[in-house]
Amino acid sequence: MTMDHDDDRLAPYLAAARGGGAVSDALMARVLADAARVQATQPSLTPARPDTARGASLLAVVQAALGGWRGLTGVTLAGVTGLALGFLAPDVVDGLTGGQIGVWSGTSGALPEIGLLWEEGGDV
Amino acid sequence: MIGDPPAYAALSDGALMVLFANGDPGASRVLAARLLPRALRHAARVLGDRAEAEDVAQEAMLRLWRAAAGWQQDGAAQPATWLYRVVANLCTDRLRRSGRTASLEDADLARDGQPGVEDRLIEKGRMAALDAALAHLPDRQRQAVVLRHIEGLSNPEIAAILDLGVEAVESLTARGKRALAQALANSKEALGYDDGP
Repeated sequence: MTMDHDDDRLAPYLAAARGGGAVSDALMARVLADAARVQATQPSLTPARPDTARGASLLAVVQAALGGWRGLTGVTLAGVTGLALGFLAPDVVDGLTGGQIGVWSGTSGALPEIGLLWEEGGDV
Repeated sequence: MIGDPPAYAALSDGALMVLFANGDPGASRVLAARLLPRALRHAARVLGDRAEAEDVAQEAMLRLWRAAAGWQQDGAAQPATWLYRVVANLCTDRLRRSGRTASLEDADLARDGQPGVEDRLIEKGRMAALDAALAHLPDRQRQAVVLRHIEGLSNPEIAAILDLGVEAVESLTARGKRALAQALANSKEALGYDDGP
């Protein structure tokens, strides 16, 4: 009851205050000038440049292209896992592919033997 | 005039902070258009002085720009809440340093709507009376009332800004509103001022 009465009494004053807050052009200009100064003076707030422009290492370029250290680590791990499987358990790989790898790499495979390219007709 | 291109309009304040940190000058214009009026209004009501409120609002925005480099977009802090907190602290510092309560000077903040002269006088009178009444409240109570009833923030948001529990904020706003209503009633009686229906 009292709170309702307080609400009624305060309403026009609070409404007037809510309508305030108009920012003068001068204040806005000062605030934006501050923002520009901070962006210009803090190195971390300047636009990022590609690392290659500063002669970054090949590793850094590859890392950036793959999405940072996480991407680079993922690609490396996948490569190492593939190599390990190929060397340590070739039968498993062969089984998973239905024995096709041996067929493709044999003389009757899907790809022609590269030696045929320069031995055709006995000429080199 | 400040434009707010659709590409920016769809972005949250946090995303704009990240853009600002990446050197985008447009982000600062949009952030300032969104947040500066709120900072100014908050400071003006707590300090009761337009010039001081502008200084506080500018200083708070400057701190926001400087904080952009380390801003976590997915963090819990919202730029608006963060800014209110800075404004609250700056106002408290100024009031303590000067050892005064808010002045009764007319803040003259109601120009943008361009109401008629009579309406403007009534509105200015109400703002002056509100400032005078707010000046009677303790700092925390004043901040809580302004944030709740003028800025329209929720109690949990105010709790984060003032570093208080939600229940403490509820108590502050309730007591503050009661005291404010009483102070306004007393000032009207003393001045013989009738605010109308």
